[in-house]
Amino acid sequence: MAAEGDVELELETEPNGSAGGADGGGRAAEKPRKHDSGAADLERVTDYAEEKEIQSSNLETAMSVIGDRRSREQKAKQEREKELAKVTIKKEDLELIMTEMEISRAAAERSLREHLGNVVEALITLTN
Amino acid sequence: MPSVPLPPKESNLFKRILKCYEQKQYKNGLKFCKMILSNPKFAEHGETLAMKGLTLNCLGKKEEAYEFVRKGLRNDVKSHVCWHVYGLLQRSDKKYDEAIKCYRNALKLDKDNLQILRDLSLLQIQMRDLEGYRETRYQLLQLRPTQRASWIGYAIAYHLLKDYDMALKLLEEFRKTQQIPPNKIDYEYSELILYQNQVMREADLFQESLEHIETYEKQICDKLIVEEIRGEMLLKLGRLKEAGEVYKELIDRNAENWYYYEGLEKALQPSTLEERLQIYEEVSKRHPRAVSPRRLPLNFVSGEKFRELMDKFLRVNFSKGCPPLFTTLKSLYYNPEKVSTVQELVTGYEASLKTCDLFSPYENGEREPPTTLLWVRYFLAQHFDKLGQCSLALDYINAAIASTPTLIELFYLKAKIYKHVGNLKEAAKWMDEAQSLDTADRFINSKCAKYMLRANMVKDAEEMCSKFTREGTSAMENLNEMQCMWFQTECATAYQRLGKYGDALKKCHEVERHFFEITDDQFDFHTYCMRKMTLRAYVDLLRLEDVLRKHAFYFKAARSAIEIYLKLHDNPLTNESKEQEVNSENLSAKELKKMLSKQRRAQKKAKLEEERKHAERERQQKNQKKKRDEEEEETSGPKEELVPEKLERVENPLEEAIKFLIPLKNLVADNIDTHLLAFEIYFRKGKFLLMLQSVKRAFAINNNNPWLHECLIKFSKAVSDHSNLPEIVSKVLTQEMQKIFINKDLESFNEEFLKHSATSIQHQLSGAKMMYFLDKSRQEKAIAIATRLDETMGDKNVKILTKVCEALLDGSFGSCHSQYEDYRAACHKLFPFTSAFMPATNEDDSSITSVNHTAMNHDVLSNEI
Repeated sequence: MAAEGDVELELETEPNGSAGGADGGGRAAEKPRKHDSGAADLERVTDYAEEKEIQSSNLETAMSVIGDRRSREQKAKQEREKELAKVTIKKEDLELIMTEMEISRAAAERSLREHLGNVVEALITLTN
Repeated sequence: MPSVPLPPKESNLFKRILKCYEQKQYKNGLKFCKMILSNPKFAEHGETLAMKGLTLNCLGKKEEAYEFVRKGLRNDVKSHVCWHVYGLLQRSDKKYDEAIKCYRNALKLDKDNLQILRDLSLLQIQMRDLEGYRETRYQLLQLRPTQRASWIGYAIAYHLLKDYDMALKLLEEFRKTQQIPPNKIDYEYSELILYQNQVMREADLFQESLEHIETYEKQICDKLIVEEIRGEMLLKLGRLKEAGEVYKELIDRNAENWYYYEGLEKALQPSTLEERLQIYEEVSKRHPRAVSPRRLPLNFVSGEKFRELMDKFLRVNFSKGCPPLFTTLKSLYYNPEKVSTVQELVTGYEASLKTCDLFSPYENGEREPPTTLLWVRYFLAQHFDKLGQCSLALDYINAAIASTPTLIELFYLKAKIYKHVGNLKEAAKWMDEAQSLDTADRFINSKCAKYMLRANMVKDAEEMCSKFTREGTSAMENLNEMQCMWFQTECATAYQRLGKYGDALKKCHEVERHFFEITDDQFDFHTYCMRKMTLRAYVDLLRLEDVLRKHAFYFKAARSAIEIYLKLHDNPLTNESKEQEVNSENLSAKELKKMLSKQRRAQKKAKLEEERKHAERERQQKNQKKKRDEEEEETSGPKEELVPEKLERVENPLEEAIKFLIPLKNLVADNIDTHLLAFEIYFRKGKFLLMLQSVKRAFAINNNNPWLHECLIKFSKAVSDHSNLPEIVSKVLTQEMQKIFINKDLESFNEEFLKHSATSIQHQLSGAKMMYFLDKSRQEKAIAIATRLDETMGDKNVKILTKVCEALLDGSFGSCHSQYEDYRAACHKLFPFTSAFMPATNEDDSSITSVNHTAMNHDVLSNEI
């Protein structure tokens, strides 16, 4: 339980005085926000430095694979959205959901559409 | 496109402005800006104005910065530079949503601007807009397919979206481009391989993962993880013999890692208890000093074998003098048989050591040193404390102290025993004694501060902490700066118990701000980790940040805040002067004069204090500003100060409570208290469907929870009291409540609840409270039920009995002072050391006098919508 040498781990290498005595009291140069004193260094590293480049001759095959996949993803997403948009919903139902459940318009609308416009069902699911 | 293109001289200046900004030479940047703007032809040049604003922001002049940037934007709405700069400004103020909008506008004007795309991607990952992040990354990849970060970023996007196929394809393509010769070890390549392997494991591709790790083994720096992955994958693929070999080697590396033993057991699949024990026996022979192979078997053996192994284990550790012995064995205490075996053994040792310095009087051997008896007594004190037999525990610890009065552990334990027994003042006193024995030990100092806070001694706790905090600032401020959340949460609950709501809320908000900062701090790592290729650590960081507010510190702060806001809603604080104005009408002239002069004196004192604090603050700010000017660091602006008086008089306490509640609902939905606190809030807001949601979720976790029961009754009553709810709402309520109440009327529902848990005081208390709530004429019967203390009641402990006392005092049963006194006396017989049960002649019983700290179920009763 007794701590013999107080070795403080600090982000900056500062001369820390007595090994066995009070530690936190004797810190010399302090930065106002100590806990993220590393952030300034990170800034210097990340700001506008040059990115590493790669040499590759096979980029085309890789890129085409990606291209195919993306078009499939886009299509699937569009279809889902179309299905949901077909559902008719009532404005007062939407507003009831928003007031009673304190959720955003988007979330309320989605829930109503997924339950095919049936507000009671939608509310039951939302209260689960 | 910018509206007015600059001529060559000015355009060069502009380029230099940008460079100065990049290199953080802000004063120079401003100089160049001035040079362009002083020319009357370009005094309104949008982009220059915007850059000037941005530079000013970096110098801390926020308001001017916004002015200039907005002006620049107005002058040149079609300039992507202006929008970009505006986005940067918003970002530096942490208004990430706004910043994203600005970047999108900038992109509309300049579709393929790399810098804007990069900045946008950072914001998107920060806000976890994963789909958006993926899109932006794709664009970056298309624009710069030769850059490393493009591939990595795109792969990470897919990984986070759980599309492992795509992520692995990208990573493999990328890996192929890294032409590292097979005999060279490159740290970044090693991390890439390990990241790739992690994605495979998450995709459950065990065979691929194993082959992968074996192929690239030589080039991976982290040798330990390679072995661990091999072991895990071999197990998953059912190749048990090989897995066994791997785990044996891992145990040789580190015999104290319990996962390795788990893995070894899974590999060897012992069919009998003896075979299982044999595994540990063998390890123990090879590693005679390892603790784990001796400790782990105690988990699964029982009866005679348990006694034999426990006897050996205890003797070795008592002779050696192992302070955390009880802690390592504590997890066995769920099993009453094992508990009694341990008790038999250790009380036997104690009796024997006292007389003949041997563990057993029937043996011969070397005599034990006196410290052995000390550690045995220490263990017994902890043992009986755990079993709730406080006087016995105190006897043992006092005996130990008598023999060794300088050992800190003993006083620490004594304080703990008093804490468990419910005498917090004594506990703080003994903890103070403990810390005085070694004032250089920060651990015991912190423990002492915590115990003082539990005893509501806030000033003393602060003084105690100040022995280790930085000179020049107050301990409270320094602890806040150091994000010392254990202190802040304890301090918040202490203030709450004392009724100082403003101060408590300040602490809760400070904790919330820490969590905000921790979430915010991840921003720089998005680029940094990709550059350094430390991708496993990066993904771990993202996942940690996703569930950050799950942490217990947040829960504690949120719970305190919500409880306080609920109280403030029920009993809002009024302006002090207003109250006194009203009172002065009823006083005589002399009394009035006295009161007014007293007021004046108090005000003067407060003013002096205020001025002193103000002067102190100004001095500090001046120091900070000096440093800031010297370093020209980017600051995020001074945070709004938290003023206790303002916090406790907030306009809409329920809305503030909900702010704390939302992360709990999202992240700690498995804790029933989240939903019960939510219920209390929505009850006061009159939101029936949200009340329904809360009780439904709580019911699913534990349908027999006492607090939930009270909420259900109040809920049902409120629903039947409100006949004018919208039709749809009524429909939903009827349908869903049916599943919980099953057509019973409230009285029967309550009766059933009481019958179901007839031996639990907690449940009887709740049922009794509700009995009184539903029908005040049954007060006698209700109190009788709540105060049952007969033998059949299973949970007679300090905490629960204190709860009953509090309920008798706070009006849950109407006025019943004599019954309270009788009950208190009976509790005192059972627990003579507990402050709450001692006769009222004792001063400041912090447990009863401040009934402010209660679970919400007490106060709620007196409120209706």
